[in-house]
Amino acid sequence: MEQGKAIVVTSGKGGVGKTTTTANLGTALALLGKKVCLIDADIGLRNLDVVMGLENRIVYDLIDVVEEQCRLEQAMIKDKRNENLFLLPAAQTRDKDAVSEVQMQELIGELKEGMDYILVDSPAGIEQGFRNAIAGADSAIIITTPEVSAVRDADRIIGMVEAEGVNDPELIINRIRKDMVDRGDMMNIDDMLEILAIDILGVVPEDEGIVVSTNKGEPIVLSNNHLAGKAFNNIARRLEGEDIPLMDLENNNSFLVKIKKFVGLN
Amino acid sequence: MSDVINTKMTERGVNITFDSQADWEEIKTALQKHLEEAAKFYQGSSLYFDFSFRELSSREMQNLLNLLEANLLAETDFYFVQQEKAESADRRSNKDKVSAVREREPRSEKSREENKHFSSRNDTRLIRRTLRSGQSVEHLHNLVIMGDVNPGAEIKAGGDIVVFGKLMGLVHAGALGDKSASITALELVPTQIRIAGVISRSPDDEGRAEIRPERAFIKDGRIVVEEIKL
Repeated sequence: MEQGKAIVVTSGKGGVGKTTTTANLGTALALLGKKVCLIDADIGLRNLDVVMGLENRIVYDLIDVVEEQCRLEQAMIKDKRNENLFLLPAAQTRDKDAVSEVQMQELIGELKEGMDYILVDSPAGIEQGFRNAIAGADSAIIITTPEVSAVRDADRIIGMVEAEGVNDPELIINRIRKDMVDRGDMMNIDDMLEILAIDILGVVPEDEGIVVSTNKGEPIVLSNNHLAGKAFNNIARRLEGEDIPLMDLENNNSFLVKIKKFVGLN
Repeated sequence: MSDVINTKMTERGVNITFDSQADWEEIKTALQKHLEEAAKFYQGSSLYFDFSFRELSSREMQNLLNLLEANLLAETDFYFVQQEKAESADRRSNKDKVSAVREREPRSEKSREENKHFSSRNDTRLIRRTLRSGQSVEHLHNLVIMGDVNPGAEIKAGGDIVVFGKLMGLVHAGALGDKSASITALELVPTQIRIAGVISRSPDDEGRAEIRPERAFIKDGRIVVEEIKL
């Protein structure tokens, strides 16, 4: 079997949507029939299990695996909705130093044998946790939001990722609001690409549905009527090599706007 | 404390190890000094001495016992262990397989009686605070929490667990294999519940109308939850 691909999802800044992206991309790839394992590398502040709605199934975690308290398969939780999707949860009562970069490399190396994709959810920051997260990665997805601070941190992270030998990181711009960009109140895609100068993998619009889906533990890609879900599905297909143009964020507007356009009121 | 002696607090007590290069006289002197300083501190806890790095002659053993008897206060238990075994057993017991491999050295009939007398005092640990996500408490015997146990927190006990508050995190009673252990809480809504080797998780669709104190225990190999009649 061909070896899987390990992708780290990272951002530098916290709260920009690493965990949400990991959960949704993983679910979207699994929906495309790929075998996917999500790894929560945020030891001590685990969230991915909660966002996936799998918290109450955790028996063993990543630290148990590296400390050889259990086998890797024992710690992998099968998703309750998709049998192609697995989660390797972080430990909550330990800290980042409980695992080393070498151990992460070994772990991901082992996972690659049976999986098409391994998505590693990185913790915020540039310390040991981040280093562990990128240790075994073949490529990187950088998440940013249209804020100067997030872009600044993304720039720093891109530099660090490249210094670690992970080449050609790709960018996801999260939580963009078309209306604010149009008014000139928010950075637009080109502004950000000019600074960061890496390939863009996708743009995800701000969507209230994300809050609901996160709280329910149901990735938004599972519901059909959310633009953010559609954006993540598109990104998954781009990862699979399909050529899908960036979403026209005009869609963001409601049906009513389309009618208005149609009758020439807009 | 000298470099000859190393101490490490664990959930079961204090592990005391020695510099394997030190000779017997050095060990004895250092131990004597350490116990004089710390005897009060150790009162009521268990000490685990690791002499596995050398063989003790019967005379040395006798010396050692005299030294410990003379310096330790009543209610202080001590054991002689092999560290490697003890530690791995400790770790395994975390995953609730077996209890620690260790050799108990009774001090004397009298002190054993004393220990029995005081054992109820040492059995149960009381925690008077809320445990937040990422915090964990482990105890060899019974555990009482006066406060909530939030999601992401973990509590584990060799015996019973009682929570005077809302139990939402991960809870493990009878962690050394005691299937008769039970878990009681004013509000029992744990993420996951474990008793001895049995694991049960909360249903994915939560939500209940009334809040009543409940008790969880093993019945016919499964964890059942029962309302407490007041």
